Amino acid sequence: MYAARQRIYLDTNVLVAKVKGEEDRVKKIAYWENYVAKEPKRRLIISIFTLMELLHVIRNALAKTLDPSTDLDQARDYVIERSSSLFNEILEDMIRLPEIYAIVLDIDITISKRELELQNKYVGRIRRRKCECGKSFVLRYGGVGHADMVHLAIARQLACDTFLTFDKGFTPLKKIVHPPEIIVL
Amino acid sequence: MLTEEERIERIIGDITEGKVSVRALKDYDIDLVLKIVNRLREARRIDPDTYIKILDYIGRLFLARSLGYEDVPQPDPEAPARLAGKLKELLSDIDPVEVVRDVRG
Repeated sequence: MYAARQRIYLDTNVLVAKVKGEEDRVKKIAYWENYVAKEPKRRLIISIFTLMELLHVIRNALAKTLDPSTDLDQARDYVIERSSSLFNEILEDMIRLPEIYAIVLDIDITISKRELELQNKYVGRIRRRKCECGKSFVLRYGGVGHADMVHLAIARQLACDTFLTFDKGFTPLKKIVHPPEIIVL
Repeated sequence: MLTEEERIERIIGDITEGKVSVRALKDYDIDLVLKIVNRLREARRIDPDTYIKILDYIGRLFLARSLGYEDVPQPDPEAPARLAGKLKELLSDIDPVEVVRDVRG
């Protein structure tokens, strides 16, 4: 018998999948929204670190839409202005999210030796990925890193019992980190 | 005469007991509220649910004010659906897992 999940931390890729509107993944997120809505004290937690990463994702994506010959100052101005506009559009909806969501910006977290030990021990996988030119391949390290550890530390600090992610790189940590229980969707 | 800290602490107690809405914190200094709520949490004088509820309100209040509102707008049941697909065009060729991995370096 499993205890009911009360506080469910959302990794950044979950929020990115939602704003991207990927049908399959949005359905998986909707399952959790429905689960949380069944009991008033349950919450899906969005942290400040998640919002910061989302903003970075938007800026990266905008920069990639520009022609490489674009003047760098003009490109910077465009990315800053457009990202601010898009981010604010997202925030307009976020501040109106029902109380199944909690947006937590101020967190006292402790990053301890535990985080370094975990990162040091679980090296993850090396993956072969198409390079951005699309013509050749590069090897990329695909294991957990410092930012993953910060997310887990925030989730622990907020007494989250569950950590939702789409990133299979978290799989090796499932047996080690508890709480929160990591669920790879 | 209560100090501002004592008034905030009393309101947090009332929120915990369900006597007042979390919006009762609206007119107080955000940083002071956070300092007190974190202190109370550390001393285990408030439960995790109330802690999250207050952090959530303060988080939304900060964002709402940065968008020009005085207080947090009322929740909208349609907001989750509106959020879905908001960046569909910009992120069309991007895998959410890969792009977050890239950002994390």
